[in-house]
Amino acid sequence: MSKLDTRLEEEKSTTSTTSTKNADQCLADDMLAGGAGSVDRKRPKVRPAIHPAIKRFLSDEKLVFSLIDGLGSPLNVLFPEHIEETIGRFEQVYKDRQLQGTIFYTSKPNKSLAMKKQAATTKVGLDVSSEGELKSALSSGFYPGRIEATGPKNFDYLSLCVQQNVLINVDNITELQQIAQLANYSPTKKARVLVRLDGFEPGRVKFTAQDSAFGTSVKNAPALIDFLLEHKDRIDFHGFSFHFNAGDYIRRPPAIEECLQLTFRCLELGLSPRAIDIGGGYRIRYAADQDEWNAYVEELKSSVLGNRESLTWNDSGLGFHREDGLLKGAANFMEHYHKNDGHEDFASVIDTPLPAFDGYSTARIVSDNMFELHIEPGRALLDQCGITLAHVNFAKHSILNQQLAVLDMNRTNLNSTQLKLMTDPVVIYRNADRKPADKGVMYVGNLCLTHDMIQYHKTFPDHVPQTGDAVAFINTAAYQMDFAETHVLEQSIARKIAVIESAPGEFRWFLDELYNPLAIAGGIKP
Amino acid sequence: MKYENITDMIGNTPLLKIPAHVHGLKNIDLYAKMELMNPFGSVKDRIAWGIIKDDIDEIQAKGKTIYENSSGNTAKALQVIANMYGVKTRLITYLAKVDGVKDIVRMLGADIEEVLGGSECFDPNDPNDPQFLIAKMVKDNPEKNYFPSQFTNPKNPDVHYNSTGKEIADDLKKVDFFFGGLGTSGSTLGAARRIRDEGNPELVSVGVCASKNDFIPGIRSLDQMWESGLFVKENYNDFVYVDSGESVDAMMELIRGAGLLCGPTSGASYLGAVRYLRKLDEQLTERKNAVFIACDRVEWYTDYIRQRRPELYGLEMKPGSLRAFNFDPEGNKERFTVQVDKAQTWIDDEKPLIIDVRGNLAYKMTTLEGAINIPWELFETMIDAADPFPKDRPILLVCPVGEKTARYAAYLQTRGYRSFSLDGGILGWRNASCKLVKV
Repeated sequence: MSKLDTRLEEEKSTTSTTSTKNADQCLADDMLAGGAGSVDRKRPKVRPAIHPAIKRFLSDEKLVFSLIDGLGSPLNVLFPEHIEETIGRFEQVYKDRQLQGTIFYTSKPNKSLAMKKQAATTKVGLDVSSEGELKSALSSGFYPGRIEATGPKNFDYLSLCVQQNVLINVDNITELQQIAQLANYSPTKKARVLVRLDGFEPGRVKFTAQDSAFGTSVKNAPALIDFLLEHKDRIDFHGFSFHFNAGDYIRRPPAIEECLQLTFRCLELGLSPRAIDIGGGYRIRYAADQDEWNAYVEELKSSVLGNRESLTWNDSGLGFHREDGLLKGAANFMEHYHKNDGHEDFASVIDTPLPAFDGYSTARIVSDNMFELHIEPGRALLDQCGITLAHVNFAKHSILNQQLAVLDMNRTNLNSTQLKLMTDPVVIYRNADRKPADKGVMYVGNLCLTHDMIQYHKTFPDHVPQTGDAVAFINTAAYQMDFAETHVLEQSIARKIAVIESAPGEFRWFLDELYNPLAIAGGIKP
Repeated sequence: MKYENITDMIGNTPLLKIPAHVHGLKNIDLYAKMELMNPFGSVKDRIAWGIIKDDIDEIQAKGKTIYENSSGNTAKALQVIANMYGVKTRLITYLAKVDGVKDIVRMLGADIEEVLGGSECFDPNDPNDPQFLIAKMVKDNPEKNYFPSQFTNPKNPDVHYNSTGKEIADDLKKVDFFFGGLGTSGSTLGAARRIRDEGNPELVSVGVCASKNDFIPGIRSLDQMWESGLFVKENYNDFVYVDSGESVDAMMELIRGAGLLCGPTSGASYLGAVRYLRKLDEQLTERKNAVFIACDRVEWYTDYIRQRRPELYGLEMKPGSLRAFNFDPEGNKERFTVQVDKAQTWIDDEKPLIIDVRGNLAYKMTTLEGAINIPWELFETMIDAADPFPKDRPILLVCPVGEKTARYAAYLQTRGYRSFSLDGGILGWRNASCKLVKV
């Protein structure tokens, strides 16, 4: 059992007596039940990892139905207080190594104002990646000194960054030239910048090069450094940055090594870099149970090879296919269970010895040299911070006789860039008259299209979700709930609400934009 | 025994009976097939040579390059053979997780290219799979490239059918159970078939798999086996799962109990065997024979083992040592710290020996005037080993934020030193705009 699970279990045991209902008993759906026990391979499930407070919330059926009935389907429910737990885990890694620097919460994975306002009450910074996000950051309570601006920048975004004197993570030399021109108009006549690099020499490890549209090749660093030296009066160079995608941990130490070497080079040349920004890309453990997740993937692969009935819509295989009797392809879903939490992976990256620094770790070099270490763990900070609720419009069978549950939401309401969420939703039954769902259920959306699949894999709830029942997709705050939502076919996009647990099992809710954690904490709001 | 060629020494490895008190089975004799005694060090010597020996003259004559998807034992054996024949290799593989083996392979002269796998924001159309990449390169230029393809080549299980399996059957006559780690699945497939064909049709063959998201060198999770071209699920009567930490423990049992200096993968197979057999042992009425594969030696894996079982590397605490020192950072802090605002006056008055315990690079960049540099790892070794400083002169210890040195100062005071820590460390010193120098 992971540390998180243990903590959740402990919390559950101390609070379940006082909660209004016991989460495990009240719901007919067994998604909220505890450990998986034995895995039923005929009806494989991927139970989501669920924060105990979210379990308590979902157990309050009256509240859940009144919210979704009154505010409409789909409904995104955020639990802003939970971000303090995820931030705390990363802060502990800093503390254990006596590291200075900033953890940046990232705007990009979720538009919620409540989450930003909650983050503003902690010590984190905020990473924005558009002019709109910058404005929303300022209005959520972040002062410019806590904001970092990343991403490709148009003139308006760049101008506002310079005027607000936020830390600008520069993508390329053209952007740097534009900043130098604008810097006269900043309050300090100087712009604060990080410079994003990529294309690192992999050191002892050789990589088949992967292309990236972001950052400047490390080969062009000398030209960048010359420019920074020439414009020292207008550009306050804070240091180098890079960002790799989730899970890509093994490439990071060689990249850090090269950034640090360049940092020392800059110091020798008379610049004063004082930070290194190693980006984000730390994962979330979506599935509750390792064995259950493994079994699902095994059964999926087995089904693609024709050894059992299909587990995917139209036998699409979720990225896998059969070729000469062999399984080929790659999953188009994330790994949903990892041994380590995001902050543990972060710790192991910065504890890796760097050969170019006599085997000293990143943490050691950064701390010894009084540098700051910045990180942007966008996804990992949103772990267990939000769920997506939807009504069931009706149940029916597909033309080829697959049981469907048609939801009042569409694919844009649960849609990341490309990777599918594979945990099964929790079904909250309203109807007492239920039919067993022996052969599995697939979730379809409300778009007038031949198929608007919410998920492409088959799930196995105990009963078929019927008209009026609700489903809850868990852990959708990062990149899923509103990253790509649109008013397609003039369907409504989801409302967002912020929910806090005022006493165990007692919840208060606010429209996302009306949630004010500072006023609540300060006691001026009841 | 005289040999003309080192490749003649491949195979014909002994079977070692593991003492019963080590494994604790009452009715089963458990044997290790000593594949670690192959000349290049592992069971993979058999397939590396077995697959290419018929083609090596042509590879050499045509100046072909050998490509393979490995940076482990197969790569090692291939590289040695390629060196002897003056043939070039190129090894393309997922990022190797055991640097010890990879370093040897590189030392032998291999050109290793590692591709990233399992990144989570991947492009689903990116065919960055080593097997795929190599197949494509070889197809583009078949006259110059040669791909043994251990994961799909039927010669892999054939080699084990013709040698490993036959040797076991010859030595033991009756074989009831056979255990091997599942990697390419070549050894378990070929050897088990031969043992069955040699008069043991009832053989129970068990595949040992890694728990998913865990890593045991050369072993995959069952989930990954679907992607191996050789894997035949029906060949196995059962599968056992083991994790890497307990495999290291099992390996230590063999090392310390049986004198068998095998690596963690052998430990995994042994563990899988004992775990599986223990359930059956009690009910047996006649003696049974079981064999597992001891595939390679322990020496390659020291870093891997250290990550999982650091206590094996003698990190025990000596009484009175720094590590055993029970430090209370808040209690009587003023007794062993010097505040930044009073520090310069204190330094002028006391003329302490100033020791900066940060790394040498940081020390060279900036430090307190007159400070010497002893990085903390070295500092800890020095004070644990001896009394390296004068006791009549005050010592001021400096680290980044003053936490580490507070502990050192308090500890050294218990040994009679006049030691103090700069409160807030060099960061506090810098933030108070006190004087720093470049060495």
